[in-house]
Amino acid sequence: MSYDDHDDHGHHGSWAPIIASLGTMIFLFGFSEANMGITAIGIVVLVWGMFTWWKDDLPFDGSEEMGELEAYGTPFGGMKIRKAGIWLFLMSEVMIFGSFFGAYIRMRSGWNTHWTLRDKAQEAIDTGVAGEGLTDIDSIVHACMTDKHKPLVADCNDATGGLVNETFWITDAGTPAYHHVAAEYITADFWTLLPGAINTFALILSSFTVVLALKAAKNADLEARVRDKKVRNYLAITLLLGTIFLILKLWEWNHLIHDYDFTISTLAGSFFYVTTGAHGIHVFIGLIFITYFIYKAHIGGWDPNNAQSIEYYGLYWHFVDLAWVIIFPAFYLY
Amino acid sequence: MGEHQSGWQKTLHEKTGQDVYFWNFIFLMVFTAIEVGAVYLSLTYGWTVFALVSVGVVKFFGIAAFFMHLWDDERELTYTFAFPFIFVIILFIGIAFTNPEGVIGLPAWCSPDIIGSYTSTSP
Repeated sequence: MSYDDHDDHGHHGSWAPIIASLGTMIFLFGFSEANMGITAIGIVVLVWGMFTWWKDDLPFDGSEEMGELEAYGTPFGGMKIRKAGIWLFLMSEVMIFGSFFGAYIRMRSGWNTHWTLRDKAQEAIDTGVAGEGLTDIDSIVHACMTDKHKPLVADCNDATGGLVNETFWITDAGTPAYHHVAAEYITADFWTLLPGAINTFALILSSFTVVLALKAAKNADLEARVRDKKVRNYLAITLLLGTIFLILKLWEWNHLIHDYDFTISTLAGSFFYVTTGAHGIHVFIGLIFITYFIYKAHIGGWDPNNAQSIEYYGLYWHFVDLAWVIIFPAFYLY
Repeated sequence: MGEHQSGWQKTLHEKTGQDVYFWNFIFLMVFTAIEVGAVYLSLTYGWTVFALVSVGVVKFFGIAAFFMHLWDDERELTYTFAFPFIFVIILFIGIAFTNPEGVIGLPAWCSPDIIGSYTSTSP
């Protein structure tokens, strides 16, 4: 296929993604500058781009004439352009989350955390320097912190025979050496862990329902009305699960902030809220798109020859699940 | 989707009545339960990290290979997805595991003032 061949096609794609990207750029610029006017303009342009996008997409029937072009040349020759495009987009997403993890691992490897405290407690028991009557890790940790995880520096020094002294908590330079990470609070209390655990199951289940929606849309044996209903229902379940995910996340953040004073003002809090927040924004964006997809299913817009968009959306949604597979153990359990 | 099924996937479907996506979903749920359970087993630090990383790798593979179809799709897509991980690995080796000043000791030209406002002095 050559450039000349493209002129024969009735559809050359849409300006909408470019408008939406421009809106996003204006929005983020205004947001970072705390300028509500520019932020609002960005949102308006973004919404305009999204509606243009969907208006262009509604009559789309999956044919090449309607814009489902194939790539040519290396390395994506013969593939659908949109499919190659979503994978290139996911490349950039890997870099975004890779940066979060790189920074987080760097900081974690230099911090004293609840794990370090437990190791020191074990060392105190093994070397026989633990305080009188303190024979297990939990009792030593209990002597080192209040129920609200506030350090008891002097008591901890006695309980560990000096292994956990003042420099364990604060460096000589006066900067924090010990950091309360989210996992310290989350793993100490089943009810604090529960929202994150439910969210993990919900996201995996939602990945599966997207797969089921795609299978239903591609099933040529089904009557059109039944197929539309199945696709709509599976997508609606995905929307419901994603909504539950966000509600539980906000509830969990509220719990961590108000009950444990774990806020974004600390380094550990900053890493936790920025990373899980960035992931939450991805979920939110996914829910906006799937709402449109449900509407399109409701009006019978998907069929076996036109289900590619669900597949491409699924790639994005599975990536969001993939990122959570790393975030959950790294930030909630470790 | 279904039309991409390879030999063993067809056999799995015929033997169990369910396709690879269903079983992948079941495995992911089971491994998530193991992941959460590992934290309450009072394992040592090393074993806990080993358990979390192992389960994470298995789940990552399950989602990427089957839900994202990389197992059956063109190899170019796998290479595309794998390519940025080269930079992530360089980032991990060059900064995360080896450069203690890599995050908080950035040179002035890449440390705008706004970053300073987020550094904390409270543990």
